[in-house]
Amino acid sequence: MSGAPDPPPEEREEEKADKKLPLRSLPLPQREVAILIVLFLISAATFAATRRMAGWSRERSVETAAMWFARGEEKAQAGDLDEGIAALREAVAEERQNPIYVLALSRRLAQAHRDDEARQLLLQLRQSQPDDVEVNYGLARLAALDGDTADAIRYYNYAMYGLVRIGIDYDRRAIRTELIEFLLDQGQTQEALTELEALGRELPDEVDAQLEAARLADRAGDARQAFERYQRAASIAPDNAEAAAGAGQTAYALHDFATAVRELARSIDLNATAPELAQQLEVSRLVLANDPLGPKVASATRAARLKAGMSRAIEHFDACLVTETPAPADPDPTRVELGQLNRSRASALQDPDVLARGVSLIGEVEASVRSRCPERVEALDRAWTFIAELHPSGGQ
Amino acid sequence: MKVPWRYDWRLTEGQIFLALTIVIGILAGLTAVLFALSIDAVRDSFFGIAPSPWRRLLLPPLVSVFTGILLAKMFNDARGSGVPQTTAAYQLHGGVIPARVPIGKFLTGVLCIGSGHSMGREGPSVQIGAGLASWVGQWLKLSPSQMRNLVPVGASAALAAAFNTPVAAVLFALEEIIADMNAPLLGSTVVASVSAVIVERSILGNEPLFHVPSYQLMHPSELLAYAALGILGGVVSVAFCKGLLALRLKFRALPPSTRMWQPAMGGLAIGVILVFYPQVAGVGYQHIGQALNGGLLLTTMATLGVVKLCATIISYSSGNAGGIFAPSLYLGAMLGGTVGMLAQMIAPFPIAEPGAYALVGMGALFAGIIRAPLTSVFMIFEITQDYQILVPLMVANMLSLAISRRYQAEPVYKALLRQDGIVLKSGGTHKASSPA
Repeated sequence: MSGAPDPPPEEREEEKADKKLPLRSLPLPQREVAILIVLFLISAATFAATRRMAGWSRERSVETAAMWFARGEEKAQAGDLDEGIAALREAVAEERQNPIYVLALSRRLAQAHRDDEARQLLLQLRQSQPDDVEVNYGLARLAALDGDTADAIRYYNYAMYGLVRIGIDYDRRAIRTELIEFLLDQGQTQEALTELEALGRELPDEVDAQLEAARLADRAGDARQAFERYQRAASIAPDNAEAAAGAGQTAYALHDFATAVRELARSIDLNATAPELAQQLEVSRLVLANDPLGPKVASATRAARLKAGMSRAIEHFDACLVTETPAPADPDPTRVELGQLNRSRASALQDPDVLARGVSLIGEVEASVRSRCPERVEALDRAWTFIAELHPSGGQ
Repeated sequence: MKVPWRYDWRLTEGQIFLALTIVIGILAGLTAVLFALSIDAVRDSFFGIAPSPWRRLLLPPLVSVFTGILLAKMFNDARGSGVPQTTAAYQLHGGVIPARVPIGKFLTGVLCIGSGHSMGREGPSVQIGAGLASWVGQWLKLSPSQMRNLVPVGASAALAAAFNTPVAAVLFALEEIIADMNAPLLGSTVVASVSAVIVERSILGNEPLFHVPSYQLMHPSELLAYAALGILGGVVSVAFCKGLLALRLKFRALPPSTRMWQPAMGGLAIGVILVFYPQVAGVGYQHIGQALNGGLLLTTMATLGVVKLCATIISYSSGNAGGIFAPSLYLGAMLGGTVGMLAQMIAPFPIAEPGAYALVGMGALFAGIIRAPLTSVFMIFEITQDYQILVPLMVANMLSLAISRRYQAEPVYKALLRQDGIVLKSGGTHKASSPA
């Protein structure tokens, strides 16, 4: 080439030697082309053979991985977690892209409290399968264990709306239920209620599902939703004691004492065993029997109920004061007003305003007794407290 | 009028060389894949899923008796790694490698590594690839310069397929075989490496050798911890090289009549080690992967590092066929993981996961032992496909290389050749001639 620097003497010597060879000095004969074609053919044949061998190797690898997996699960189930993890590692080493093995290993690692390793594995798997339900579910559980609320919610959501592999028994409701429980554990009631609302939309008409949702709603403090779920469960399975008891207890919490009496009585008939059921039934019955402002009650009966309630409240209050040392210097104004009202004639007590005021005063006195002498509180006292709460306008 | 079927099929020499680099790339890549698959098949046949201690004890010496006979009687130049022999073939023998070398290397390499010797498959792959290229050149009766040029082409292609690292393979050919980073063979080695990697990926899939989470520098002060790792890496590299050369010298000092049985002597020692530490058998990629992902405990990594160092020195020095690439990565991963865990315990600043240190440790040991710093950086990058770790990797590599150079002046491959009576001139003396 013109303008190119002269090659060094060493290379010039080599070039001279090369020029003596026919390949360099002469136009290339067809022999080289033929050899190249042969080499390409050899390459193609070797490629096919290597591919076949790689196929065999792959099959062997799959079999080996399956054997390690079976051994690992067997050991882990038998309680030998370390051996199980070691075997599962072998399975993953053979088949590192097999999500079943990776998930099993991460589960066992989490079981052995090696959360960081488990998370590492799942995060790696997630890089190739970001939408996989199980991978995200595993990560969500690990984040929940760590109390990492933001990550847990994120991964739970990915898990709920991710892609499901064929053959996997996927239960979105179970994941959402777990998320709600986690949120309740973390005290995030508002978020839990939002998820509960979503859960309600996908809830099947089955007793277990309704009961589970009712329990969660109850935990979240949504007594109305819990009552509706329990009632729905009770209507699907009238013989279900838990449904009846739940409906009765939530009705009691909602101050729907007529329903509470009906459902609690039914749950006791169905052999529900919770000790508070009988107590709540008794209180509910007492509320219905003593409420002067209850529906369909004659005026005279209203006055009589109020009179009885006031007498009991005064007696209860005075008995409580006796035990108090030192005795209070000034008389309690509520007690004084209640005493004055208790001395009124029966006809005066039929006046609706007087009735309402009386109920309110009884409620206040009972509250005072409850705080001063909690050991003296009985079912009837609780009933009067509820009665006062049922008619809050009495104090106005 | 010219008749189409009477077309003149003659090619220019440049076209022939280009076609040859592609064919050699394909063939070397295929051979490297076959070599790896054969090692796995032999290992599985020998050991199965859970081998008994007796099997672990007896297999390495028994197989080494057979390979010792093969190496002594038929394939004497197939001992050890193959990289120094390839360099010598390129720099001293005009690229001529006898056809028996790649065949012998394949056979004895598969048996030695498959039977549990603590050695790597990449060095042998390099020699097999280079030998194959040389055989093709001899068949085609190429000119001496072309013949010599084919050796690094075959070597880089084989290494590219063995590690799935095309760039590092090209750099390795330039740094180690040609010993000239400005060699005009750059284009040919690139073509061959790419051909080999395409073939390898079409068979085994495009998976990195190790799956590693994305690591990053957590705090600028963390570079101090990586620097400490680089220094330790240099010390371990020196210990490895000196131990290897010293023990090999002792084996060579034994009477020539024992040469045939020396691999079996090494095999027996390896058998005893494998009874207690089966994790150091063979290439050991699985345990490197575990260290990179934080799956090993501190004491386990420290112990495995020490045992692997001893096992590799014994396997190599006793004259078995196998390389030191993978063992150096193994040692680096264990050392790095150990340093990472210790740093997590004592460092007053945020520290990355131990896996990040295992990754950097691999590069540091590779740079310290093999003395190919550029190859080391790119190899770690290509193996893991993790870009974030490059700065700590370069810091550790530089320190490891500096310490290794200071206390072990002669690179291990050159020193091995010197023990065999072959003296290479310093890098760049034997320049590659430009392909036509």
